[in-house]
Amino acid sequence: MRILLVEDEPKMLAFLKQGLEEQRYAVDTAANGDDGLHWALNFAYDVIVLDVMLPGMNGLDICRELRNQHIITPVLMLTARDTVDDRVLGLDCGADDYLVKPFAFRELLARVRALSRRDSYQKATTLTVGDLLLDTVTHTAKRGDTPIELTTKEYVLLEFLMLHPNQVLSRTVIAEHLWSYEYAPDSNVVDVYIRYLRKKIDDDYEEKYIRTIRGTGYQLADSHHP
Amino acid sequence: MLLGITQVIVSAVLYSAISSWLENQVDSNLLLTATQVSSVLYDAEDSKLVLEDINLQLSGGNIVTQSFLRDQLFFVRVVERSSGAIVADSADYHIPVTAQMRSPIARFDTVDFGDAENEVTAVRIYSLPLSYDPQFALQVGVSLGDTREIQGDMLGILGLLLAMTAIFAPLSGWFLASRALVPIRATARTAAEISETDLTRRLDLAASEVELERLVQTFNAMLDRIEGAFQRQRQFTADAAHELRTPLSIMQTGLDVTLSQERSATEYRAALTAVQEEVGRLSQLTNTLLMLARADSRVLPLAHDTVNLAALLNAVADQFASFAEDKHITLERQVAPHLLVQGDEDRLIQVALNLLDNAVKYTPPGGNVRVVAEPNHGWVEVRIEDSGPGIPLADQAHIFDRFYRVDHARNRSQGGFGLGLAIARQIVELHHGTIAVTSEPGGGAHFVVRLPLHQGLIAV
Repeated sequence: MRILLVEDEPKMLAFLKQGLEEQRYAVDTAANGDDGLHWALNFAYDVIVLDVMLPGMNGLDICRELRNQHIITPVLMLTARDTVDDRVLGLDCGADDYLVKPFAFRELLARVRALSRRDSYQKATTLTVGDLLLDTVTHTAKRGDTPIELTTKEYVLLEFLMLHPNQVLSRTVIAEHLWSYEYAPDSNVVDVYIRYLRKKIDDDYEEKYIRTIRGTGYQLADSHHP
Repeated sequence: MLLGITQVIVSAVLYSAISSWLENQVDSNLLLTATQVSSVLYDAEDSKLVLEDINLQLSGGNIVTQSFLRDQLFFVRVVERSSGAIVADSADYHIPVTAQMRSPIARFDTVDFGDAENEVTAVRIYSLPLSYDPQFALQVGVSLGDTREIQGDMLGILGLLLAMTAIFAPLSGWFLASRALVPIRATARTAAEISETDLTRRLDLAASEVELERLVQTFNAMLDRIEGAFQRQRQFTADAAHELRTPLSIMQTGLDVTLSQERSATEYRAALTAVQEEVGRLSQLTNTLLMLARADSRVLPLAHDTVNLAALLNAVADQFASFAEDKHITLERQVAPHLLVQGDEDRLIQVALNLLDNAVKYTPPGGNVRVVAEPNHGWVEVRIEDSGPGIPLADQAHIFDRFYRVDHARNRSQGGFGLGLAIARQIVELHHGTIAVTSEPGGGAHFVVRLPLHQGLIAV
């Protein structure tokens, strides 16, 4: 999952980035409004965490502009302003959720998770495809009753695939959602991680969930899907 | 009530006037009749009273001509005065001759007479001793029945009018008053509904009477001021909340993230240092806000010493000397000697530090900052001028507002909360002084602080 974090207070930005990355998110950051808008318009994110009071363009205007340009990425607004009017204004500008500072970090995480479920038909916090189970809160995976140990990158790849089950996802798209701008690799690296994942979840089983669609990308689907 | 009293007086006067007139009419008619009859009874040839056929003469003829008396109980008679014997009488009833009627002088008398039906009527009698034969007196009498009746009717009418007025006047008064009160009540109701949660409402000028217009306008103007004050207060509270929350949220997120897993000692140290810095900011902000709050409610403790402002300004300038040098800014001073003011030295230092800090901060390298202080007609005038980018005209009016920063995004990297100038103004005003800024864009900012000059000896 790739997150755009727009926050002008440097310490806050640093802590949030660290916290989110430790929770397996790929995080891009911007410290002012104009940069934030630029990132949001040019890259695909799963969630945008947006501070309201920013130098340059403020969070409300950024959100409006994103919606005007038909960017439907879920937006979580952060602010120290807590009145009903402020919340209403924020939500009416197109934000999907609103968190008042100071907040507990784990609440931020929970809301980010909720927002990333928004456009998926997978509403449970536990994702299931066939007998493959992924708990997005505890970050654990199981096939049947067998727990599966995954590295961070393997986990996020599986999570991404399971959030878009039956969809054919290109390497580029997968790469975009798994790495931040800083660390973005060649999309071939995706092939390697698919290989790692297959080893852990498919190799020992007859039914293979991860399929290669030649010339296009990869798909995670169960046997019911043609 | 005044109306009632007036009416009673008027009625009384009216009644007595008309009453008297009526009675006078009766009397003058009697007099006239008596005079006429007496001349008829006088035989000029014989120079004596003609008593023969007097009854005929009295009752017939053209003696009784006034229709007024025609229907009355009326008589004309001749009476012998010494005996009281009635010699001639036009009526067939006899009203007794009283002693007074036998008087040698003409007179009027009123006698109550019960007639055959036992109704008692008042009768007015005029007795006229005949000039040509004074042993006889002519008496003309008429009942006052009709007169009394008229008087009674009049009394009745006046009484009725009085009663009607007594009822009607207060009714109409009440009606008019309540009509006038309706717009006042409506206004009062609107005013009562305005509370601090809905200060946007105003009294409706159109609905009120012209007399109320001035009052309504004044009231609305007052509401404008109150709404403005509440608005500023809300703004300040929102700004303060924001400023307080920022360090708190940094601390919270920092601690949450750091504690979420095992860390190295270095990482812990870094996190704790960050928290420490934020605690510092929070403390500073809390103190500043408290000070502002106290100054607002006038409970800020201020010392009242004699302060050597010249020495103060020089000391503060010294503080910035090396910093200015590092930044290649020239720091000029023109501080007149012996400038004394009354006040709180610590707070005044705070003001000077604040202004000079701004000046040096916003002046680019190669620029200059001037500190000028001189006496001016009972005031000390302190000017702190920089050669920085200046302050835009739109911001100049607000620059002393709380939390106001020219860079509207409240960039903390420049430090400060936007309260420095607000505090400076508060302190200067508590010292009975003024602070103002003039600025040309590109021409730097010029701050002028004026404080009352203290005449006295220099504090050593």
